[in-house]
Amino acid sequence: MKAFGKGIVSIISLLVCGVGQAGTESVSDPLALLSQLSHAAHDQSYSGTYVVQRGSEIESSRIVHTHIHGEELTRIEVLDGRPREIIRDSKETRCYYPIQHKIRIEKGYTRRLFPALIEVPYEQYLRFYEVSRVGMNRVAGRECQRILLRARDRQRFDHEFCADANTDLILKAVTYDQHHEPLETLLFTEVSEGDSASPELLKSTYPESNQWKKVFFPPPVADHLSYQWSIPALPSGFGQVLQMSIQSSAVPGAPFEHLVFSDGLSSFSIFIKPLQGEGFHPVHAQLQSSALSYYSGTVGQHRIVVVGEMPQEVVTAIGQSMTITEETH
Amino acid sequence: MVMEDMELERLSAAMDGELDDERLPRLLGGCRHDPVLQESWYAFHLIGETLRDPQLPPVHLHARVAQALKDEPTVLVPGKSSLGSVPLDGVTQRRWLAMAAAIAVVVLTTALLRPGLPAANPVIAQKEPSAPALIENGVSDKDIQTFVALHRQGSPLSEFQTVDYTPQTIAQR
Repeated sequence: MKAFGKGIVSIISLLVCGVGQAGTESVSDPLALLSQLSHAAHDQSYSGTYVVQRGSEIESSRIVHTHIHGEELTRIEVLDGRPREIIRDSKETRCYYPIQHKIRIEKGYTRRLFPALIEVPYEQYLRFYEVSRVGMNRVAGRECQRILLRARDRQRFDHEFCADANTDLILKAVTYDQHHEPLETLLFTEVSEGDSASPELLKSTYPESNQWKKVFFPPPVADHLSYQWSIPALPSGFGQVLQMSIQSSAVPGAPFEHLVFSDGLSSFSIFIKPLQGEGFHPVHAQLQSSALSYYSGTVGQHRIVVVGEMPQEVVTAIGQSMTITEETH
Repeated sequence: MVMEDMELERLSAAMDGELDDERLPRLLGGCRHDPVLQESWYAFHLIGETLRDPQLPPVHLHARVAQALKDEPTVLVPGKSSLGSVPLDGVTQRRWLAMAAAIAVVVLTTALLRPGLPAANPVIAQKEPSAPALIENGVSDKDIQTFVALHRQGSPLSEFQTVDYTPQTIAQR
């Protein structure tokens, strides 16, 4: 009976797997391919409209990317919801929040901007993702090559890019969960490459912003922490990219630490907050309409929160493994 | 051709309206008493409805089949309630294998050849709504949203435009 059952399963498995792998082609030089994707996003001039979709949330933006006097410049205008405008040059990224009359200025910190999703060092991707071509698709009216970065372990999600067949520009990016269901999608709805854009198109539309409040990011690290932390369950390939001490009016109490880790395609944050009388028991949740998983618990006299674009069990394991050692005086 | 295979063929012909009037009552009578024929009748109807239904909801059965295989292959083995624990003879096994293969082929081809879907693309199952976030033990929905916003502010991989900019969540020293 058992062998019979396996027989049925084998037949269906062969059919399912056979279809699933149809068109999959290994990449002979994945480093060169990743380099092409990165250079296409940085070196070319292009403009277009793209959409970010997370579950039921959809937001579209207009992007202009070009080089003026050898300097790479990008301007993004968010078209839906509250207005926002992002301008990046070689020195900094400025995000304008006109309703609040605030400018957020990021210096010395590289945040990815679609379609520039692949960055050096490319070797880091190959250690934890297997790169393959999985056929062609059509996005924004263009033929594009589908490129799958399949996670080599279960500690991170798979990613897929569809790169323009002629220019290698990423036209679509998808993050999949463990069941290969899309969690997050970014795609151009229309795009055109070619001549450099007019410098006027790269300027902020808020000339009065000189009077706005400036918020610099990242904020500095606390001068001295009264504790040391360790993460025994830190997934391989994830390195710390940021540590800062923050105070938010939404989180009452003393300033707390925010640590950010990334493997180049996924990231997670750890928040360490001294407890001041309040108590928290472990809570973990896969957040609705999001690639994010969440864990909250306590270690000694500290609350630990882990949030990241990773499988729930990985985020929970990270939080539960953490240790904090108080300094003794 | 063995007797069981002939009956299956007649069953298929009856469903297509191609069985003559003389054999049809005999076949239907057989269906009433033969549980295996009843199973086949049900399976053939399932295949037919799957093929004919133009409004097939986007359940992407092949993805579910793949996931079911990954998680718990035994779900595809007929349960004891229908077959009991009696060992199956070779003919019955062949019939079940043929039915399973037929169902799998129909499910896969239906999903892949649906109009408007490029055959080269894998069919991605529609994401079903996740369970709502667990809110208990002093952790509120607002609490979670705050840390999510802070994560998006700090993550180098978050799209800038998704960074929340409500006064409460702009981190300040």
